[in-house]
Amino acid sequence: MQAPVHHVVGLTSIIRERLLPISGTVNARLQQKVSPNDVVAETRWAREHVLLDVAQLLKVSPEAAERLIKCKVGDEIPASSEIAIGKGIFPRVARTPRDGRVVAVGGGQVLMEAGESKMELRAGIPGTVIQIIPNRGVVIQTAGALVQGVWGNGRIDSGLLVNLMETPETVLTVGRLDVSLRGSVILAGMVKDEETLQAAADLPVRGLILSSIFPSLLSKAREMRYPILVTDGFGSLPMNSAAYKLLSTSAKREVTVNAEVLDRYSGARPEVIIPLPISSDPAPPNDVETLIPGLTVRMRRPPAMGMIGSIVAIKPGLTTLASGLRAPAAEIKLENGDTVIAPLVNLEVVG
Amino acid sequence: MVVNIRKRQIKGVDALDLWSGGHILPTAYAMGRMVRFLAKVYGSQKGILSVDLGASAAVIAAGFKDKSTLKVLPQFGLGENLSSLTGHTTLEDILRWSSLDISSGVLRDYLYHKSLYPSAIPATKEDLAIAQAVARQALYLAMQSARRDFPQHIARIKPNLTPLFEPILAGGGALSDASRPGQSLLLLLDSIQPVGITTVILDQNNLLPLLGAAASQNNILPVQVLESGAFLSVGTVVSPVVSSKYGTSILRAKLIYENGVEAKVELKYGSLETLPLAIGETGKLSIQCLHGADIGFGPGRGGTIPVSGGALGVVFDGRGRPLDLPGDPVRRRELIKKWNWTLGGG
Repeated sequence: MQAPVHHVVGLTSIIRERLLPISGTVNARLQQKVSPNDVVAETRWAREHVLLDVAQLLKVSPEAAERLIKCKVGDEIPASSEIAIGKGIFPRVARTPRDGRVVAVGGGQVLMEAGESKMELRAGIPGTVIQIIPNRGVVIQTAGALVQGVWGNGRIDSGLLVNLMETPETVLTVGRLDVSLRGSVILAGMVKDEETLQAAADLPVRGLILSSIFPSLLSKAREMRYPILVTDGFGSLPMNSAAYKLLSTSAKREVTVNAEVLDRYSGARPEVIIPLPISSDPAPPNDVETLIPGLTVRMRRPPAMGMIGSIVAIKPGLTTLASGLRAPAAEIKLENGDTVIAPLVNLEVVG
Repeated sequence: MVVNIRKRQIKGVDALDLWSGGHILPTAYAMGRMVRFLAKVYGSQKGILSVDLGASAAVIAAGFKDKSTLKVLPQFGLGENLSSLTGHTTLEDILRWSSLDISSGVLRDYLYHKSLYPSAIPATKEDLAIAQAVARQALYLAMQSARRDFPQHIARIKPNLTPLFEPILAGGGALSDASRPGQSLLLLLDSIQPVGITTVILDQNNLLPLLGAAASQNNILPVQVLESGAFLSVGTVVSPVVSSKYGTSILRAKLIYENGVEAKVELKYGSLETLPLAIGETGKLSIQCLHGADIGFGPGRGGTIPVSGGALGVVFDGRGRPLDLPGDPVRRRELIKKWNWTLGGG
């Protein structure tokens, strides 16, 4: 059976597609060196759409309204303009409620887009543009250490990594945050209160890397202007040993926290990237691996949720679990020496 | 439109669409098509109900004589959207279904974690108890929502209760994840709260939508698969509507097997009972209603009906409608364990 790979790797090639959600303009050039905050593409879109039911406004049938509508797709129309006039001595008039552009006309209705928003797509990682995707974005390649997380607040930034975690179970409190941390990315452990998130914003920091966060703090975390990346999950979970080891030994290095929101469809995940100098490009990591004995895996659900271990054996056929369910399973030797049986579907490969 | 959105979201859907000659269909739509088909085939006064409780959505399809309804409720899916379930219900309302003493903090963490890993399955007893409680509440809410779209003039015992259905088809990860058919059945009885007499069929391999999609290309195939035994008949369920005191006898039933052997049961208010009738066997079930209990024949009226066997035989649900769980958490958990035990859910 194949399992997804949760990347925690010391040196690898990292290739990331950065795409606009809709068509736009690509600013970057092929082979251009970019830093995480560089705008590589931008686009504009309507802030809102207004549907004018002309047939209803003029009290006529959709077919009749169709003949009375004076505007066409693409017209830029100012507010209060007449777009259709009824018949009779005192005809009813359909007017535009605000400035806008006509995007569709049909069925006795007019659809307009109004207002404009600008979206800038940032590189997200430091590296080289290796491909331009016309009107949509770029593909960027870099090399370095990669630590993926499970939750991100949608922000990106980079800075010097400062380690405030003595152990994987460390809890970050307001008292640990002082002015010397301004402009740093903090390896922080668990966060259990809003005050700590706010204190980090007040400094301000350039990012928080957390092992876990209370679900009740997620809306506050989304409001923060700095990136927050969670490596392991929700509640009071310690950081998995692989991520802790790699991050805690990378203190004082420049790191990028791309706290992208997890998107199962596009494959986007929150991640910490630590660029490293290389002489030749290392191989990119696999996104899926076949589960075999000896492979390092992480437990995604109880028992031993979040712990890392290695596969001792894949059980033949179906195994009856403690819950009573029968599923393909493996025997896992955990780092603490315990051995557990876990369904294959609850495992992810670490590497 | 749905297919086009999925093509943009998921790599490979394009290729699948090409292979199927452009006949790719959304799962819920295909399931609704099968329910419409079955409603025509059965053509009974009662409706046909199909529920699918999966990771992406809860889907409720109901087919009646003149109208069919299909409701897709992504907010009650047990996958990515699970973390937002608390926007539609409280943690306490979910925990009322749990057979184990679980704190609201543990449940909240579960909801968020499960939304990260929708494909994960419960490996421990505690995880299973939480998963089953969440599934019950999600399906319960989905049914409440779907009921608003049911036509007015359909067979019912009371307007505020689930209409009369025959059969009820159930599928989706939450139901096929249950370790025993009894667990799945109790989940369905708690959340759908069927009334009268109905057959419950488990679509363990989630075949129903596939048959709905295949029907346009081969209209005999669904009939052949339906009759092949690929679906698991859990049993015939008798759920009287009655208001009584806990422990009062509300129904007496006698099952006469094909070989003439008889089995009897007396159902008390607040309890579940079963009479064995194996898959493939048939029998005659005579029911005598007490204290004005209504099984769809009118208050206090019984009758004799032919019944087919299932994994659990004939199940009598005397817990009342709507189901009113005890307020005391200790007593409630004991009762849930007892009901689970009665249906062989462990």
